[in-house]
Amino acid sequence: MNKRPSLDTALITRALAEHMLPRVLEWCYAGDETEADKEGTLRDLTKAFDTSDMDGYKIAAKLDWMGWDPDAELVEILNLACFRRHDLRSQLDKKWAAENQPPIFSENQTVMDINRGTVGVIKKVIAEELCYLIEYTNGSGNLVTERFRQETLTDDLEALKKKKKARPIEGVAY
Amino acid sequence: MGAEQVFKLAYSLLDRASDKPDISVRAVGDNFVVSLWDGDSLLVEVTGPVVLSVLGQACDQLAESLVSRAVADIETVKEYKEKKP
Repeated sequence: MNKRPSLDTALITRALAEHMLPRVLEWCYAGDETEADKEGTLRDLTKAFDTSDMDGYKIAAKLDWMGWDPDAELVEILNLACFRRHDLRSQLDKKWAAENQPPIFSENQTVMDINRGTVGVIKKVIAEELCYLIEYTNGSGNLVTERFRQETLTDDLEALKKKKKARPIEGVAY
Repeated sequence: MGAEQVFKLAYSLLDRASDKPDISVRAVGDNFVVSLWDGDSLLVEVTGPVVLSVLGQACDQLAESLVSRAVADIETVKEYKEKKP
């Protein structure tokens, strides 16, 4: 299974820059851009979007340092990009999940998150995202339902027993 | 830290995971159920008797999840952990 797109920051950043390119070109060149202009704009946008602090004003400031002359209209366009990042991530993940179907775990199955050692029971399969809602009891004794990605889960019972950090949930036999 | 500040902090963290962040709180018997949403998708839900504690635990789980899903930078999560009560 290849890497989930949402984990590939460079891919998301590039996709976002490509998505926003037409609007930004319109702001820059009003339809008079050359191929070189397009390439340069895409390169600058990709650099500017390479941040987790998605704020239109801050991204405009980065473009300013690259020699751009941002105004309020550009900040507004860049603010749209901030919202689109989540959508793009979700769209790319759904496309990826569709190519990697079907889900390998099912409801009521006991699984463990490999990264955190959390052990719980699958309450819902979110097939379109290859994710699962898993119920477990946390360290404070409260019931938690949390979304986990398929690729971080295992149903290897031997691994469940060996994992020191595993927190068994009440009423579940391993 | 008052309830309003805790909710603001929770929203600022959730905002990194979703463009449609939402927090819902409901009472079920003697417990409170706090849910953190990305639009219509549930991210984390915690059930327990002390609402602010439950919200804090939901945010802690979300912070761990954000790091493992690489959808928020470490600084964001560090900032949350420094400010949380």
